[in-house]
Amino acid sequence: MLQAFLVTLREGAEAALVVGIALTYLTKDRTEDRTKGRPQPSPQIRRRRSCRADDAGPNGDRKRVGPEMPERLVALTDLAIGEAGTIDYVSLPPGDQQFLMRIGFVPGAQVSFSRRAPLGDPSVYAIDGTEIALRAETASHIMVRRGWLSPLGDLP
Amino acid sequence: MTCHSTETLIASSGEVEKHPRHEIRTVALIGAPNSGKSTLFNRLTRLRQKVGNYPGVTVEQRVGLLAGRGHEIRLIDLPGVYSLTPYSDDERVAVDVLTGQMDGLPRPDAVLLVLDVTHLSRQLVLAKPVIALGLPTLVLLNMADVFAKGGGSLDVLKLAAELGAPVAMVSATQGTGLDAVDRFLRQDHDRRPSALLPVLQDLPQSRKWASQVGRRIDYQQHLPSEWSRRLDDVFLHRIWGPLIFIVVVGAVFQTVFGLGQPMSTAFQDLLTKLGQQAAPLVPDGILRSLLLDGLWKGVSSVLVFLPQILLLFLFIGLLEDSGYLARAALIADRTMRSVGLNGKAFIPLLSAYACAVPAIMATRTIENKRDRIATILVAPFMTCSARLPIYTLLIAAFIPERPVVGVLLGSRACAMLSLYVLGFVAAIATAKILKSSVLKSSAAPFVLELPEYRWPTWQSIGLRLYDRARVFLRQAGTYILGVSLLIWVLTHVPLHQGHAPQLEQSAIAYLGHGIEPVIRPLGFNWKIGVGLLTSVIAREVIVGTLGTIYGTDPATHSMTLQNALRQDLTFAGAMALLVFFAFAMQCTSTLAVVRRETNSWKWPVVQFVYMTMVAYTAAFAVNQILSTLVK
Repeated sequence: MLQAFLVTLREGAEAALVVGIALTYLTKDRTEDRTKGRPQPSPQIRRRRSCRADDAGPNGDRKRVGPEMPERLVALTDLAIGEAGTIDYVSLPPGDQQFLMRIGFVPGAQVSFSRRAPLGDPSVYAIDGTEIALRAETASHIMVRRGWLSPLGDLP
Repeated sequence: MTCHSTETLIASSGEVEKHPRHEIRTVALIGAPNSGKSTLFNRLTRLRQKVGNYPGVTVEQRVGLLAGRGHEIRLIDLPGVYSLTPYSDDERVAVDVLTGQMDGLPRPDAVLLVLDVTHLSRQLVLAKPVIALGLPTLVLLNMADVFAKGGGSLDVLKLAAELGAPVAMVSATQGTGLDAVDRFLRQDHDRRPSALLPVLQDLPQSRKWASQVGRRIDYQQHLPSEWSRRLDDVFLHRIWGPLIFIVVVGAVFQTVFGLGQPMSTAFQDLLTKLGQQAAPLVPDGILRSLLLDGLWKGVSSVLVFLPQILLLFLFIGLLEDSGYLARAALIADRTMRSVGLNGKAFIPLLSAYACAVPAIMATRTIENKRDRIATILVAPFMTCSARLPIYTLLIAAFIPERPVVGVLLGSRACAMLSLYVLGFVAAIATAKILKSSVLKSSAAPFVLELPEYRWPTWQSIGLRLYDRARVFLRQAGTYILGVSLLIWVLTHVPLHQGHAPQLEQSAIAYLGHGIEPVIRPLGFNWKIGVGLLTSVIAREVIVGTLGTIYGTDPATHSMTLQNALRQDLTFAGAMALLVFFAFAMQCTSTLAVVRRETNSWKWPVVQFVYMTMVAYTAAFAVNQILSTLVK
């Protein structure tokens, strides 16, 4: 009988896990909207990003968007997957800023957005040949200058 | 297996003036987190190491022994740090040890600096302040095998000249290049103030310096293996990722719980047999009773956790060394954050379903101190296997078997399941309360490095298991021994005509009667009270104690424990007892481990008081409500 209990419990716990993760997964989009209060891309940037995705050719033709873009400084969270940027500044409390700098997020460092975690957040960024995951609450305070990675890996 | 030859290059820097001034007796090992420092430490010291805590902080201190020239050399493993600016506890400890300000440790005579050569430009930043300390330093470029395989290269001689310190390429996992360490330690060194390197506190400037050095030494970045990226495409896939995660987690849970339980039972039988075998060796009487019934029983009640602990750490070791644990934390972070914890807390909390002791030991992977303490504090609410004996006993005695959801779920299974849910809810609620009050602000943002996937090596996992087993046995064992002794004494005084008294006349029964007024509102009698007192050692002890009490009582002598309880307890009281056990911190091993892991008595005391209060209140409510309803 104890054996039966244990089996039931195990199955129960696993089922609960599956349901829990599935639920989080399904409600993902809703929770993403909730984070809108933080520094998020302005509608223009969103629009721009979408047209960039359409306009920019495989070689990343930036010039077409360039002139009508007075500020190219965006939060790290605004990069598209695969897009690279150069860190301009980090606006976090000094302690946290120091901490991020130690692991490589220093002004001038080149960073690219590798992938999102399956549940949408945190996101994985490649910096210095290392993959580091940051939550949006942190990454949204890292300001980068947009730039597509040229084949040589250097920015204009 | 050595398709690539990792050359052992010791490149000495500029002026080599040797004065046989002093021999090396103490060496510090320093490196960035994830530089493979611990693996190297294990390699160098084999199993001759001592684990403890630095005074005053929750930073683990590991000291090992190296064979030196005619004498032994102490190797101090410093915590992984990114710089020597005292920003965190870890960095403060590193600086204090290196400058000789740490109590109980002499200033090191030499330093081994471990840098991950695959991320050299980032790690070089640490080299500068360390070498600038002026201690003889050997720079070990670790992961040389991975670096060479990925096509990376650098000029070791030039790097040595840049740093003003000898440099060696090593691989801690393969064990190659380590003879450089021996040679370095055999040399005579001279403490010389190193004025070679300007120490820049400014990080961006240090980074600039590092990248300039990188250029001068012809540093060629290795190409990260395609495999890691491809595996991540699967393991972090939107759909496959969480599915694989569930399967992996389910498998770990199933094994630790399903396989660990019978292993523990078998181990317990073995220990009991050992005790019985040893019995004739000790003269019958008070001494045998003390040794076997008191100490051996108490200690073996803790030893039975060992198989589960080892199993769990085998899995954690496999997951961590292969690199999957970081991915699991990444996937779990989203869900764990909703209760205020971070993704790295997932595996410890899951393992707490088997036993809170290894779970609390597993919280070491959480770097954020506040998150770690919060995880430690909620872990014992998870329904561990030690609660099952009393749960099954009371449920079998008081809840009639009736189908609830067809044949799938009976009323008894349903009761058991609700107890699991109850513990889980308590854990989540406590985490929320803690994270929104005492342990509110995070010390640092959540940062998770995703290492490349690697095959775990048996040696590294073996060492880890050995290490954990030893820590557990020594630390938890000493407290348990004390408490077992105390309870044995309480059950054996006052002496009755030179013999141990009946349990009912013993000091512990006296105490049980003493707390009866307090537990009466919960629906418990003094016998349960004695059970509560003895089960402070471990939850399952209550079953044995109740067995003894009802067994010696003439009124219930001939009944089974189930029937005896049914006569002696009300339904409301039994349910209150179940709820009490769901919440109460009846486990000395857990308290001992919490004491060890947090390095203070504060947290175990807070935890014990809090959990007992919650348990008391909940049991009180259940008893009062049920007794009015059932009437």
